[in-house]
Amino acid sequence: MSAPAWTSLLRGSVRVQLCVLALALFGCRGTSSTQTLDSDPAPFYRGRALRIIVGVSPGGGQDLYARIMAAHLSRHLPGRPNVIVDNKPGAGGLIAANYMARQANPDGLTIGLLGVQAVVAQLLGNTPQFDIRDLPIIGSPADDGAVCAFTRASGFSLDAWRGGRVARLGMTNRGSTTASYAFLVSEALVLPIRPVIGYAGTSEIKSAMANGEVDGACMSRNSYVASFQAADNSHAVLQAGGDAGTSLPDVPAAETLATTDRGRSFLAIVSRVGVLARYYALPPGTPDAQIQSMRTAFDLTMKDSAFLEAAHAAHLEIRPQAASTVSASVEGLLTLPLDIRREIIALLNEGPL
Amino acid sequence: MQTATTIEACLTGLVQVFSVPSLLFLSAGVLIGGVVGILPGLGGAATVALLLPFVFEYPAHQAFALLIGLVSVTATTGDLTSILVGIPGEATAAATVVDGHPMARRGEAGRAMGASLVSSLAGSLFGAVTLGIGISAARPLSLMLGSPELFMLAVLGICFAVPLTSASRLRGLAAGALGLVLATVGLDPIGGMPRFTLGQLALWDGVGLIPVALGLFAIPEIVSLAGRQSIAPVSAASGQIRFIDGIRDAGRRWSVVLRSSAIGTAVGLLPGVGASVSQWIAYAHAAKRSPNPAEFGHGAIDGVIAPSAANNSTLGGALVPTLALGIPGSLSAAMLLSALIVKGLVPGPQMLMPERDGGHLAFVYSLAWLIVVANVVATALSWGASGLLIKVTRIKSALLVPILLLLVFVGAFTERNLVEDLLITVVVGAAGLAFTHFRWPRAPLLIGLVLGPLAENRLFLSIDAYGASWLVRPGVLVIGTVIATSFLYPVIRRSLQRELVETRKDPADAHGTHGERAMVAALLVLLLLALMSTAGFTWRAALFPRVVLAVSIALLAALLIRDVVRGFGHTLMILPGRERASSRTVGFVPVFLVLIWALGFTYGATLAVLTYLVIVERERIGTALGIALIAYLLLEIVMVRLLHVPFPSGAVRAWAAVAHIP
Repeated sequence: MSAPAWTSLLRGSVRVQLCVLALALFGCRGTSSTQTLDSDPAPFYRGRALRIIVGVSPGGGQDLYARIMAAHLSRHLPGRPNVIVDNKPGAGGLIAANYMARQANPDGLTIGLLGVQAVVAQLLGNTPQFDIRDLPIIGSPADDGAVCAFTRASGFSLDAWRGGRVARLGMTNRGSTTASYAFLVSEALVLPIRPVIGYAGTSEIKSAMANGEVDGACMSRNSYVASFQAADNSHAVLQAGGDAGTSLPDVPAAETLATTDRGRSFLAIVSRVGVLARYYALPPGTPDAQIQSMRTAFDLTMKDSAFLEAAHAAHLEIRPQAASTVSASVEGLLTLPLDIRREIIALLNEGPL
Repeated sequence: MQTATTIEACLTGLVQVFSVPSLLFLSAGVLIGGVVGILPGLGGAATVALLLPFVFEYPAHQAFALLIGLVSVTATTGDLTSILVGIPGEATAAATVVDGHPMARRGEAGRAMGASLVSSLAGSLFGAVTLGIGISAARPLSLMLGSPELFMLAVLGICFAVPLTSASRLRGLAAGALGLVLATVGLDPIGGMPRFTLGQLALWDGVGLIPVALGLFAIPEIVSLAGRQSIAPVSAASGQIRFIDGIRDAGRRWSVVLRSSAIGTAVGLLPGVGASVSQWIAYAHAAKRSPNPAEFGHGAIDGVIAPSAANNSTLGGALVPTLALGIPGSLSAAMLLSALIVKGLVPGPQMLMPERDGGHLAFVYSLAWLIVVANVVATALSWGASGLLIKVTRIKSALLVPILLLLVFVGAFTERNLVEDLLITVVVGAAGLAFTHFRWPRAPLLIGLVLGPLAENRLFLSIDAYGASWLVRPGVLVIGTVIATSFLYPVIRRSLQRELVETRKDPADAHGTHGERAMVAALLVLLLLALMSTAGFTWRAALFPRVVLAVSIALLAALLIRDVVRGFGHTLMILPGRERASSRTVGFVPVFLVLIWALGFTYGATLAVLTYLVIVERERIGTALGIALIAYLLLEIVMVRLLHVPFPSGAVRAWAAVAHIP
């Protein structure tokens, strides 16, 4: 056995570690040598707190994106505000989206990490209170895609599925990523499924896969890579949308298997949904100057080596999407042709057609 | 070979814990966890989430020394708050209030704390040992537990909650059913249809556990405290001496400690059910097995020992499926799971392989050791501080009440960062006051709220996955038999010992007052309205709420009918003089809420504390300013600066910003 890991820990200076810990706990982050915008004589953000509103509970992947952003964004804003994460979980991200659209001050001191749920909710006609398009978009640190994975014990393969074997797929509620991806992908390729709906989250689905209650599940690619792939008992058979092939080069892309226009239009929706997986936006009415400085800071953060290292260490993919790309996806989803829109609404609300 | 590898990993794990940096991180974790545990509402899981980004950059041993240190002691110190001030320090320590606080009120805070600390320590040791031994058994266990079994276990948990009520079985059942009704508020778990949300987005995810726990237990306690001089009589015996008594009690009742620890660990092993449930099951079990069940609720030492041991032993159990399968056994374990993934330690079979084969076995053992060491340190520290802590029970209540109210509101806010949760706390607080006044048990309501969603989800999942055949799975039949027995046994026993039960009955229990009848009637109207509003739901969204509403309505109607049959003749509720101070406090709670809403936490709550002291309690202005300053520093330094709690700035400032007033 090589020298135990603990001996190397003793070699580092305990004093330095203590100081860093104290700094970390007291929120006084150390300075960094990276580029800043402090040259402005009266920086807007000096002495202020910038809040990142997040629509999920602390601890998950989406929350981590916000927390790493919070630790690095400040350096690129004039006056280096104190950046804090404000979790407003609930209603599939709609509580946070509603807060951003209707309650948050448009003073440039609040930004929101929105998921796709608010856009899908609007597509389904479930958000009469606001129009998500009114929120100026900052950009997105990464797109995402869909992956359908099965347990090895189920004996499922893509060929078996395409051959007509019915897949029992675990899902959380309707409108969630697990349900929407499963419905859209299976419908696009005419694959038979039996939905098992109501799991509280992806860990519960994982448990159901382990004990054979379901054969598999469709989920976001990032979630698969982070917590399913390494577990020995599951394998991905199909992926769709996003930058397919970067992280799972051997998994067939659904886009190459679709044979009908209808199928391709469904997969195009999966792709657009993927672009919107984790985009940042500002409250409606935020002054242009604040929108611009936030976009600049966001772009600089995406290139900041310290940020990239932290994201890498946390197994978070970074594939920045510009505001214009995100905006086009939102617009594309909300202006679908009426017939497709009706089909999508029926599919996502009621399951396989 | 296998044994040698295990022993080597176990020792390496121990050595990892006793490296200097790990110990420093562990101490920091224990200190933060200790404080977080003591503060009501602010939970261990949420604090782990707040600290996650700060521990990214450290090696896994140090990061986990901090996180495990923090999580494993919150239950220990949370129990102390429950005992001392009657407010659950953590949602997982609510059961300790029921008997721990009555002990503090009669001056036995030291004894209760001693018993609680020793039981907590024993519980955490039990959990850690289970983690060490049981990790390899996680996979077969998870294979046994499908949705049908989890549904039956949820039903079993709800049934277990009912015998908690020594006073009246019918009221206990009604409270449990009301908890299940409350659990159906929010989006239905399948179709996402809003149910009973009153058009409020804040209710889409249902009613939070912490606002309800604080409303039910803390508000009535604070109101009652306002009517007394201090928590314990000033003349009570010295705490330190009684502390030893508590330790002796725990030693004498070792079988309760052991059984409760086993219950806590077993509940922890189940996915998604944590210490917020295990504490009550252990409590119910202790009450059932006690030679003096009538003492429960009035300061029974077993009622302190059981939940203290159970909520601490849950973590070790919950970590087993978390590490072995990546399926968190509790909320805290879910937070630790995300930390594991961030540190590149993916749960699975690698956790059972030694480091030289690319596994993390020594790391797993180091976590078990961390739980042990953290709890030993926390117990020692709490013991050392116990003299000081007991003094809290002798502080003049006028000074304590506003600070406790402040902590309740902060705790209610921090679960979801929603101001609406403060309103829920106040509304549930009103129900809590009525429940305490009419001697309705509160625990079944809380358990119904926790287990309701689990029962509903797993019922539909069972039907989806297995059709009707889920009903004949062996696990379902076994648990079903246990439930049937637990229901039938007391009925049979009662019919055999009818006379005994009749003589033991509390006179206040036989029939209710006019006030209670009014409450039951109001609840009936509310539930009937709710039942009518289910007409617009899809059948899946409607099924569970209709069943639990029908059961609740039937139980409440039965209560009313029983009362009418046994005859009226009770006086209307009158507030006696001693409770006048309490009624002023009751009146002030909404004022507190409005000030926070208008001016934000830091200024609004500080002003509320000041106003309460000067106007309601007529304290000297110097004293009032001093207490208000403490409140301000607590909010600004601890909450905002240290813990980064994102308090809202208040409606007035939001309005000023819109109106461009600088």
